[in-house]
Amino acid sequence: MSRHAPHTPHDNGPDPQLRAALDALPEERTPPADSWSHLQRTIATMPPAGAPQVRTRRTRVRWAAQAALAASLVVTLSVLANRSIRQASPDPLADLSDDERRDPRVLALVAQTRNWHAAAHDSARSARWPMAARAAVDGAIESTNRELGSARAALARDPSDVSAREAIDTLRERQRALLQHAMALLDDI
Amino acid sequence: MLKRLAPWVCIKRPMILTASVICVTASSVRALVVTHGMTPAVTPAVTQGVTPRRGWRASPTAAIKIHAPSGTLLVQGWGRDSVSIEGTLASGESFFGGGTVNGLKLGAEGTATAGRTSLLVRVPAAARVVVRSGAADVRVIGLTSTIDVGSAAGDVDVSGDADAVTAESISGDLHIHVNASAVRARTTRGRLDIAGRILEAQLTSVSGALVLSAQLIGTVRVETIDGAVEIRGAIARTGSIDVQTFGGTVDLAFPAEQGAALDLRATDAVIGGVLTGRRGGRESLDLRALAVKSGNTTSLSRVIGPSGAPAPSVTVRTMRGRIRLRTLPRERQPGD
Repeated sequence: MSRHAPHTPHDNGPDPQLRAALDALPEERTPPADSWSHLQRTIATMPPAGAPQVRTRRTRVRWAAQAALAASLVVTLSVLANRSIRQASPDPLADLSDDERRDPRVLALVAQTRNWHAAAHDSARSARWPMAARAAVDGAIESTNRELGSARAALARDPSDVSAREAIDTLRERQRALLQHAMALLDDI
Repeated sequence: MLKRLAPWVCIKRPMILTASVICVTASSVRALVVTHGMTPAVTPAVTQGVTPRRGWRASPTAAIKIHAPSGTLLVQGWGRDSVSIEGTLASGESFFGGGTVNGLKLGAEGTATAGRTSLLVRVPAAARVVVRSGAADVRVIGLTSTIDVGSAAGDVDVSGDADAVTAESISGDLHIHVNASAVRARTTRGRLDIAGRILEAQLTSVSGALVLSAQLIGTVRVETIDGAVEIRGAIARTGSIDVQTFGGTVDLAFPAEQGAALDLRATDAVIGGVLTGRRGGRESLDLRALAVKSGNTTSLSRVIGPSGAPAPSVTVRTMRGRIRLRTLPRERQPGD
């Protein structure tokens, strides 16, 4: 009496090619004895021997293309972001006199300003910084720069204007302290 | 040959490689998108819901740090030696907490993507509390020791009787109504509203308006860039007011009996206002008429008030911001 279901054709065992492959397998991986016909049908429906490698190569090419596309998207966005950074943060040394460029207080403010712009556009560091807070700090920089411009204009009109000179020093120190303080708070949230 | 029947053998490594590339790419894009203020397309799958109420033992003067990224946070002092937290978390945020009886750290963390976090934290009334908030509005009530609240974009509201209050918000408003020995408050763009009885205060803003309406003003130092400054109230005998602004206006209002040594100076701006006397025979003073103009600077130095009365110093320096003094109407004087 056959062990197979009535609709199952008689199983003649594996052909030599399949048997050689099966013999190469560890013993515990050997399929059940009643699955030869199933394996043979599967093998019969397979394309010629070279096709899977071609398909795999195509798949790898497609993955590589996708990865390259994603990488180029990141590069494009980074370039756009850096361009907007440069546009939003002009060189703080641009309008300074030679004497001011040597003033350690001025250099401290310039360094702090550059730190702020770098940190604000460092996505890993500033990802959780609220936009409103960033905008407020940028607005504070603008407000302070506006007052600095006013004081510098007053000093240009009258180089002996002591109050204007003091105002410039005070404004620069406040701006430096503001940036330092804001960055410390934002890093702590 | 059989290996061809197991596709994972061939594609497992490429699948991992592709997935990792896509994950890195997505996070980078998301970070860039967040940086530039757009809504991220990928959202963490954290279910919004009510947090189970949790609690810890704590000493009466424990140091407690509370984090709140978004939504609202109410910190309330109570008479128990324990800390409890309860409330609702937004999607994307999770709850954390732990520490010892002398030091605890708790709150919410993560990035809210939907819903609104609302937390209530109860702490021993004498605990030393530090709060750090991203965009969460923070309210603190009933604490008697030191309070330090820093928020990047949320409003901060502190009330009660405390030893010392430090409050800061970069873009939010600060409302501090306390009886305290010391208050430090700093904002960039938000409004700063201070009231109560304060022995010593240091108030700083850039563009935010600053209003100090105190029953009794001790030593107050105010610094702004172009924020308007308004101070109303009686100055203590040993107190003083020192205001420095650049583009902001300064309005001072004192009770009729207030004595003060005024030292006012405005560059490219005027000094004005009228002080009216009620008792002690003081006549009305038109400060504009009394101010001295030299070049582009207007200044006024004068002692006001009943003769023999204490005269705490009032010093104001502005660039482009006008200065105005007035007498508080009797019915509007703080403390009445």
